[in-house]
Amino acid sequence: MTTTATFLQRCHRALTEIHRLTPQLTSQLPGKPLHPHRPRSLTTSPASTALTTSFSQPLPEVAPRTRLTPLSPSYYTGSPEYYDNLLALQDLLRSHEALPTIHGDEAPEVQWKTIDEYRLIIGDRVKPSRYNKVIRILDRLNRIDPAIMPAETKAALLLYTRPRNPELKRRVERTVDNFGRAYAIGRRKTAVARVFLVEGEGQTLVNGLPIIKKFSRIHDRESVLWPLVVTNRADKYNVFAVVKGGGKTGQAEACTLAIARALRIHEPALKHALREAGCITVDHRQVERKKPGHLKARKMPAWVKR
Amino acid sequence: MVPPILWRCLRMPHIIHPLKPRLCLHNFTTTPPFSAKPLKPKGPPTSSKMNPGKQRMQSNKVHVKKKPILVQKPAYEVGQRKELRKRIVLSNTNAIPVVLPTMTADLIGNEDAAGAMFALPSGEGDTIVDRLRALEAFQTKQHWPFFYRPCTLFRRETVEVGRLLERVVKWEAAGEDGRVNERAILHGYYGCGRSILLLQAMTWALQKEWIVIAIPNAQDLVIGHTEYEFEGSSHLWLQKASTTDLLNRVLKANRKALKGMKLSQSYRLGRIDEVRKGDSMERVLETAVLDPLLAWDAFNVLLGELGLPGSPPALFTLDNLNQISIPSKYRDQAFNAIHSHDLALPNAFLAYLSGKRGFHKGVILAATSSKCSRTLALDAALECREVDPYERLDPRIGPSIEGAQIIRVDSLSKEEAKGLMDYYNQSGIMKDPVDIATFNEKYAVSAGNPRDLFGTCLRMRQ
Amino acid sequence: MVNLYGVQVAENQLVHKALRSFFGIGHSVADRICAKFSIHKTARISQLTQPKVTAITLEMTKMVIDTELKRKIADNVIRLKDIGTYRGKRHALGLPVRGQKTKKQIVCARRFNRLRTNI
Repeated sequence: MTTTATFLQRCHRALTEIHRLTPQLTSQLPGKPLHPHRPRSLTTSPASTALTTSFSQPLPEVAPRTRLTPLSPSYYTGSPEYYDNLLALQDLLRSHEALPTIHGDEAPEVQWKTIDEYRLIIGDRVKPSRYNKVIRILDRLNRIDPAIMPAETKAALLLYTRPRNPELKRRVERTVDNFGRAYAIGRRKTAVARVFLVEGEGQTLVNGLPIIKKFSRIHDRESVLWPLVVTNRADKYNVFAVVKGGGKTGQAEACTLAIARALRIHEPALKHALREAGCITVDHRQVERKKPGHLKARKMPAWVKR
Repeated sequence: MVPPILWRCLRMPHIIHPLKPRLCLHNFTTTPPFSAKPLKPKGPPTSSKMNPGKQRMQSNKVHVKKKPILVQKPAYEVGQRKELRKRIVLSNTNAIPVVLPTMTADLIGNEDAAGAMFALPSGEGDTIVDRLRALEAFQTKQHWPFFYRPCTLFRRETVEVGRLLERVVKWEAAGEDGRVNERAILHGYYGCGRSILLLQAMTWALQKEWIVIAIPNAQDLVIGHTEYEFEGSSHLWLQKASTTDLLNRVLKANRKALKGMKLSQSYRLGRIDEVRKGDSMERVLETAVLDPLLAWDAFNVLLGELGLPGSPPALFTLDNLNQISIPSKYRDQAFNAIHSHDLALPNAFLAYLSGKRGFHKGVILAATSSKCSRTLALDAALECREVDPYERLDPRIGPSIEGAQIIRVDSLSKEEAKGLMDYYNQSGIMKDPVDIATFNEKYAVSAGNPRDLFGTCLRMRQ
Repeated sequence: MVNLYGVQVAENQLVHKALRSFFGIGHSVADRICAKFSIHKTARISQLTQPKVTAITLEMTKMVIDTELKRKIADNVIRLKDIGTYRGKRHALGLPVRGQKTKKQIVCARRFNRLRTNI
């Protein structure tokens, strides 16, 4: 008898807590029959119908069951609160999947709640991988075209966004200075390139030398000018670069990054094209240090018997 | 990755050049090759029952076959590989012919022609290309084998080189007395086309029937690969083999002009041979070519005669000037490195370049090279730049090029690059037709350098 | 075949290489001999004139090379032995002379550090 009593208690707790934690979510779910998995709901209590369905359209009356069933379909998953939340979000996404989306670069900038804040919502431990799953869905929802974003989605996303802290310093927007120069820095290996980009007729000076004198390999020159070449602007900008440290390849590719960044200051719309060309991604790899006991970074001396 | 040149083979009918060796390519095929021997018809099967004894005898005896001793032929004959390496192919019948005007002598110093491509004269009965080849004006790595016929770009620098020739031509036409010597050094970055400018100057000079003396690669004179010998009277080291080669080239290229040159006085060649007044210069050189001992004297006779009034104009060129501004690989008797300027041939050239000696009418052209390392003294003299006061510079380099005009060979301008790229396009080098975006890209990546421009046109983007 | 310092040398051999075939003439000495007679790097024996070959031979006779050099070295070793030095003893034993360890790897010493009286 005791077991039955505890089960009843837990059912009740789940019922009330879920209601407390995700009231908006559950209330905003669309009224139509949701998906084929929905009937696996095990509950018999009348409160559960009110919880999982819209207020406007009550579910048809179901003959009350005699056996007690858990309220949440995720009852046996171990963390029912999280899974209820996830399923609700997945339902929301599924219902809006067909809506047109925009590119991730153009989507409105939002900061999702951190994993700790999310844990507070759920009221339980959440693994980072599970948190990431939720964030992925939220990102996808955020990419729905803002012009036709449904109100319910907007409201749902609002739940998970962090409030903007006005005291935090906002990122300074880089602009072209009054001489028409865009300035940017790029790094690769141990080289650092500082680039001034101005509109011009396609001349390039690296450390005060014509590019052909600085980079005698065609490949290096191609690397340097890649952002301009790939956006078809090789004859529209003049480059003045100061690059130090590293070797030829590092210097050339540091210039690539710096030029790409400077070009984005001139023409922010090129971001997508430059990303496709691989000019924006920072290659932060460095030479791995040599360790004592090793011949190189990882190489061990040959094994000798005794 | 298939190079773009090969795609053209699909379009062009495959013509096999009769003189070129055929490249043997084995395509995948399931049919037997024609050269394979036909299968032998099977004879009557040898029955073991018919002669059982024989078979037993065979099985008992260990049959040892004597292998014939094979004398392996070397893959290449002596000198064959060098010949292959140095062979210059000037035409490619697989390339698409491009109709271009010929680079004639009346284009000398013509500014309007700058930016256009011109073909070297190679019509019927025109031997200019052969004569240039004899002078070794073409080099192996100048991408000639990609095109149907040798063509060159007329550049701003070509106009400047043409001006030098033009001045001499005008002087000659005016019939004025007195000497006129135009001296210039072509200098620039690697692959900027200095050797091609020399080639263009030679083309014009040969068409004008000047005497062209060309040292195609100064490196050959200083790396210590030919014999040398001290000559006491002039304190110079003679290189008889090299001088013979040079005279041979001069003779082959300028036979007609040399035939017309008559000696103004008698000379003594070597100890015994003598050439009389009124003999043709051709005879002198023919004698000298056969006997290396006479070569240096004959060369001096040639230079001396060219300095006298009434002689034809001369063009004296030397490629890779840097190589003779570093110590040579030759050693004197005390095992000191011989200064390149003490070698007779470089010394003679530099005497003309610095104006110590002169032709009656002539142009002296030198081209620098980017392949020679550490020629600080020469660079300082050419570029007139500040040098480290603690640097020990060779004091003989500066005066050796003093007074010569320095022609800076720059990158191609956009118009020139466009002309060159259109030519590449028409010759079928490039896969796609050139649009403005492609042109801008190639021009920016190559930075207007002709050698790199060809490289970027030929290769595909990664 | 050309007779150079009493040895028959193939015609197509490089002069520099032919000189180096004598004990006591290495790269640097061969370079110096070539420089003295103005012989370039790629010269072959066949390209030398007879007076030059004679001159080279004469030059070589003035130098201590070949058998003479070997005998000189042997004499030095014998002298060390005779005056009873440690080095002389080590030579006689065929062991390393200059303080190397003898636990292992003394093949070269065994080969070279021997008393050779009759050369």
